[in-house]
Amino acid sequence: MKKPQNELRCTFVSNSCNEALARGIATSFLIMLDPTAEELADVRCSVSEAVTNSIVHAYRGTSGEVAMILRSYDDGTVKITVSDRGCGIGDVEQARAPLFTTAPDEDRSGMGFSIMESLSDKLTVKSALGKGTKVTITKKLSSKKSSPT
Amino acid sequence: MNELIKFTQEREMIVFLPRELDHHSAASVRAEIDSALFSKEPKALVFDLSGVEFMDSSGLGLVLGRYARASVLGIPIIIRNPTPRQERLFTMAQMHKMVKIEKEAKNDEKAAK
Repeated sequence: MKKPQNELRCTFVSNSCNEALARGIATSFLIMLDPTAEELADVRCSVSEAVTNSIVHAYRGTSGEVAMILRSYDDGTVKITVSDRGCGIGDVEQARAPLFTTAPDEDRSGMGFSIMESLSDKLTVKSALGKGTKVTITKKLSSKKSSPT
Repeated sequence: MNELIKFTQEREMIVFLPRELDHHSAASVRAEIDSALFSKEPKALVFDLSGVEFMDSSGLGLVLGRYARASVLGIPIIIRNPTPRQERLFTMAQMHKMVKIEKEAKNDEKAAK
């Protein structure tokens, strides 16, 4: 894909209060692109799932940095990458399966990846044990406007 | 959020979930819900979503965890007033088979929004 029209990079500590912060940042970035209410809600939820995964699973029992990069393109596509340097996922295919969770006793529903998949147009997950995980959410907005006016 | 838990005369325990229901806020209400559930043993546990503007899979997890506890006590769970989007998430997780999803007629102002 071509050069993004707009880009925002941020890094935050893996505190659970930053789940809301990440949604707020994604909302601010997206609002300039004039999304529909549904599209905005889809992206907010997807970002929340990705960031929560990093906080709950990647940095389990420890803490670290979560990096989020938001990019918009001139055809209305938005790509959001959430990455951590946490424990990594051994079996990505298994992790993406609906209802699969490694932490049922912590009230995890096992639906994070399924929800991200269903709310986005494309979801890629790259992970290496001991190195970290990078999740990229792609969402095509119906409005063509991709740069702030 | 004003009041988290309310009991009705019919011994329903109603939990008014927070406006932003994510992993962070779910963790902050879990203990209070569990303690009321076990000490009062209500007839039904109702999660009222009228005030919830955002919910992700952590909301599903919160309800699932309470379902596990309530079913041991034989207490049914009701999800009241979800938005269509919230209801879709419950359905996606197959949870509509475990809990009753219902809408209150008097909650028109939410539907009109």
